[in-house]
Amino acid sequence: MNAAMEGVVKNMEDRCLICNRPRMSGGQLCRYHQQAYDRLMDAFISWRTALNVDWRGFLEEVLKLPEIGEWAREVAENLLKRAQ
Amino acid sequence: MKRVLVICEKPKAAERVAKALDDNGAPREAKSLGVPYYISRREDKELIVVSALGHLFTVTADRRGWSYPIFETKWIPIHEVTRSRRASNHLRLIESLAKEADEFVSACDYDIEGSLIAYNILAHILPAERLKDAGRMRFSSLTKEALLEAWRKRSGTLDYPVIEAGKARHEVDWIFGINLSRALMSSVRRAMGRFRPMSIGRVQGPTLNFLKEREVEIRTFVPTPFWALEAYAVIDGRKYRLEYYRPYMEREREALEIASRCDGENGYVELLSSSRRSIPPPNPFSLGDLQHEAHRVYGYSPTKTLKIAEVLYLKALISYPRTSSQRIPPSIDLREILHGLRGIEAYRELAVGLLSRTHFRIRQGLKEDPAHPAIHPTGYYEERLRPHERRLFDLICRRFMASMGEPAHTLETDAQIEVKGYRFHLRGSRLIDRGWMSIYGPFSKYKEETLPPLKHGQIIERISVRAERRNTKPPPRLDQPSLLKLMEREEIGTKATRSEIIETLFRRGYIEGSSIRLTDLGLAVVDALEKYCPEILSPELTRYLEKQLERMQLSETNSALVLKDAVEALKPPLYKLKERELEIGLEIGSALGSPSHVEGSLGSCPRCNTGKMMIIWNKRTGKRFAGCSNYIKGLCSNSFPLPQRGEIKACGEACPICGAPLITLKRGRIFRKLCVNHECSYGRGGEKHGR
Repeated sequence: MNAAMEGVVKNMEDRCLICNRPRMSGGQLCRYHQQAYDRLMDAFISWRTALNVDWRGFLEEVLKLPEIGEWAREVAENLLKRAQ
Repeated sequence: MKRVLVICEKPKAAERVAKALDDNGAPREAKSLGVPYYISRREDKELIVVSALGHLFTVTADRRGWSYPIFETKWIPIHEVTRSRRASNHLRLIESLAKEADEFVSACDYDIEGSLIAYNILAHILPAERLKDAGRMRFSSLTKEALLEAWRKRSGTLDYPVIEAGKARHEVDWIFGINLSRALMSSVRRAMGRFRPMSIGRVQGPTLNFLKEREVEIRTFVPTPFWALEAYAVIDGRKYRLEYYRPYMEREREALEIASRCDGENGYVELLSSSRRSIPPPNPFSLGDLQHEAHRVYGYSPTKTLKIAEVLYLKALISYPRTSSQRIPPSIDLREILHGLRGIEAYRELAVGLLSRTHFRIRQGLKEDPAHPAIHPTGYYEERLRPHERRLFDLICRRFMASMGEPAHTLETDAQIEVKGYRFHLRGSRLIDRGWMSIYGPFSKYKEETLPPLKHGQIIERISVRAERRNTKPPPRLDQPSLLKLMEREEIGTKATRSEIIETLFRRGYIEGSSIRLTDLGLAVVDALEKYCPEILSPELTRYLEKQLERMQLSETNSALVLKDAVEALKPPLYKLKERELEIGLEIGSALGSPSHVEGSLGSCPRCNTGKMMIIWNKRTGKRFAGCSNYIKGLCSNSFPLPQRGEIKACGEACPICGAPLITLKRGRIFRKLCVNHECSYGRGGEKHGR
């Protein structure tokens, strides 16, 4: 493996859990997936008030909706996998 | 006899100008080098009317070679860059005709570009002392009357402040465009070892950034539920929709409770009110308005609308379309135009109706353009129009006449209906006076909602009410006209260049689709620029430069100062880009499928169990494979070939057969789940690897 490749492979540990973008400092996600995560957390509060669902139920339900954004879906899928 | 060389912008315009200015309306047509030109007689002068082909000169670097930064520019004939024989012939013909001319007049379109086109040609063929005597015709349409008026009132000099502003705009745009685009291309070439055409400029950057903001909003969107009451009542055998006074509720329980209490119950009309509403006529079209309306009505892209409008202008059927004005000045004879439209079968009745009025009033918009009025018909018509030309002409004519129409009036009725103590509304709207809508006809957006006759206290029987769950929706994707409007509102680009900028973003692969979606490449470009030189994405810089260019037209500043300002503004971000070429190239390269980048982890390595299987792109062959991250430490050399087509994502599961990570392979709309180990049979139906 050449030097450029070594740099790249080293770099991969700083990559987002979901995609190839760099992680936010101190986090595991890139800025976009982190933003999606934050919006999921905000939305959970509304869902809990509206339907009295738990975290897992929320993730399962929200993933069924076609309106969910692509990055939010990826984060929700990842979170659900971990919850399982 | 004095000879006057009249320079027009396009061949079709030259023919119209020659015909209009000839005393007998029949100029002599001649041809040289395959380029037609016209000889007209006007009083004691012989007019030689010749056309350019749009710009015959362009900005270029003052030195050779593919490098950057470049801040020194020069103007050269465009055929030296494009190798266009046609452009070369036009210039050669004008040069030879100029030798026999005593006077020179620019009859190019009256705007920055038109002024610059004629100036560049004249500056190329005339010595400075003769250039200052060249005159300028100013017109907003190519009708005979407008051209004769422009000839009579032609100025004795060219419009130099406008020309200076035009030159500076081209030079600033060129300097920004060439340097930033080369910086991007150089970055990608350095990181990927191959060339890819890319571009970014002072308007492209902020435009792309607007699209990125919307894209992030959509892709990170999480819907939240809410409930609305769907209520219907049958009155006199017809079903009407009722609205609960609160459009939505956040709690399911509350919505269900109201629905269960009200469903099937009787209500009564508690309050009945109606009011008359006046809908003023629309203003005449600016270019942006026309592009927006043509997209709404016919689905035409802004570029297509502009092209059709230019054809109609060259046929002298409409006024100059590249205008931001929504106003028709008093100098335009509305009666004359209506007389012309009266001669067209489709508009006869409408025009006669408007002409029968004692005085004419036209609805004026807010936006003004010092050079041109709003787009309007000239009153002329040509039978041989193509279908799309006829459609756009119809839209322009109807809008023009509608803007002279009377306001439309509607009767808005609101019946407040109480059901078990809960308030519902039955709302209707009826057109009582069509006003301008009768002229605008099929293009009006108004939708009538008629109500049955209702009385105060009237019982409405058996109202059906149910709670319906809905979800919030992400903001809509922008389409071309809405992006154009956004650019207009943010004051970036000009009316003439905005649609071209959008086309360039499509051509470069930064955006796609009619509902515009930012591609991975577009996102990577914005991300890289945001990280290393956010100034390029800010609308502030380009807005500031636009203001400076506008001030130049008013002679409040000069081109040297504006250019110096622009270069000083560009230098810091450009040097930052140059310094970080490799990083930027790697970031953009990842979106282009860079041969040397590593994508996210697919899962644990089944051989060493401590490393992660990563997608790695071979720099030499450009092919991808899965390799263990422990390879770098010399601990594991496990690798698997991967399918070369389609998008690969980790499943986050291990294969139940061999323990290697499972992946999903997406090709088009088809997803397949398979094991990364090519020798394992899991999910594999003859899939070949490494091809």
